[in-house]
Amino acid sequence: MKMNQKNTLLVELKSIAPMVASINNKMPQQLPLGYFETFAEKILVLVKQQSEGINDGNELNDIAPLLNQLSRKPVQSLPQGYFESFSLSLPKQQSTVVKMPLMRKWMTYASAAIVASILVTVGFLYTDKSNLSFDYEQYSKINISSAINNLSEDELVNYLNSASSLNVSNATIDAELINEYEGNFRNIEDDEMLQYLNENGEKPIKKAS
Amino acid sequence: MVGLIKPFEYLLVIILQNSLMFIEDQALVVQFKSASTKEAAYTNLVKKYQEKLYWHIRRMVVEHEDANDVLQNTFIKVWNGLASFREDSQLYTWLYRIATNECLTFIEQIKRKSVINFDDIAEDFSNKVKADANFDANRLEWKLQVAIQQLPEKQRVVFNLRYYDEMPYEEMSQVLDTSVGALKASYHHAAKKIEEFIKNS
Repeated sequence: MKMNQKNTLLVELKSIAPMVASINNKMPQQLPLGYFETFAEKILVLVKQQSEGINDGNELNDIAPLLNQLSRKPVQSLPQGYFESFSLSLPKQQSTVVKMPLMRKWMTYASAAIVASILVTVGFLYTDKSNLSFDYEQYSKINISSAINNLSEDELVNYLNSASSLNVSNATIDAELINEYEGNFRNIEDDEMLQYLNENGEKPIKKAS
Repeated sequence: MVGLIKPFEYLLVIILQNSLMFIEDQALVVQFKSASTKEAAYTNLVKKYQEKLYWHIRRMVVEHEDANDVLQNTFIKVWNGLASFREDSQLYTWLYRIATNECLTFIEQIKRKSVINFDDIAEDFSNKVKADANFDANRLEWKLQVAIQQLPEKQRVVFNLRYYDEMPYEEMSQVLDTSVGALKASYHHAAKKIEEFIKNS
């Protein structure tokens, strides 16, 4: 296979540069003797050093070569048998754990409950409940159309002026729409009004006699 | 019929040889990924490819000391990267790729350190060839070495891989991340330039 591949390459090169094809392609440079015999072992040592992060001293050679020549053994002396007799002495006394008295715990819970109940009660008492109830019975007795007929024109005008200035949930109300709605309400019969109130009210409303 | 058998046998031999090499390399990678056989696998891999990679590097950087440095850097990168080798290319092309990149990096460093342009670099490398103890200007093999140094780096790599390593264009394409067509054109130009240089020298 190699011979055939070689032949293919030779044919190719002959077609491009016949003179180059005729040259022996063996490298003329020499190698140090035994270079490849020891290379694999050397490179393994290098990669292991790199993995273990060992400094082989080359770095120090560039910065301070004298330091590389000094011994790295400590020069200070130790008392004889120091490490043989070395032991950790732990304190015998344990720190006391202070428990909170049970009575005091219950007192704390009770006082918190009292404060909470006071706040709820106050809040309940001082809330304005007048707006919450709606006396349907009282209003069901009113004859709406006759009551409106009894109103004077000035009263109606005043009512309309005050109603138009009301801010209904931040929505701008078209004046034309207001007039349309007022017109529509005038056309609603009492029976229809009562039926509407009954369907949507909380208490059944009886028709006024 | 007999005429058909021989090419078939030849094809079978190529496939078998490539398969064996592939299986052997795969085994090395698997052994490398296991802690107990990592070092042995690495040593075997280095011994298998050291010579090929050395000469590939030496042809680019010329001097033995530089080639030794670049070869060491190459194998250190192999040690660091082999565990995550994806095996989507052959181990052999992966190794050549690392070695080539290390060569080009080395040459770039020389250019940056000396602040010289390409023509001077070519002259520099030619001088290194001529500085070899065994240099003989009359021998065509030495003239070829000097001529190769006249080429731009990438063209030099292409020529060396095809001429010395007899690498198929498809494999070279994986090493250099260049199309087969571009490589063929590059080799064509390189061979022509070398011949021109030798004729004129």
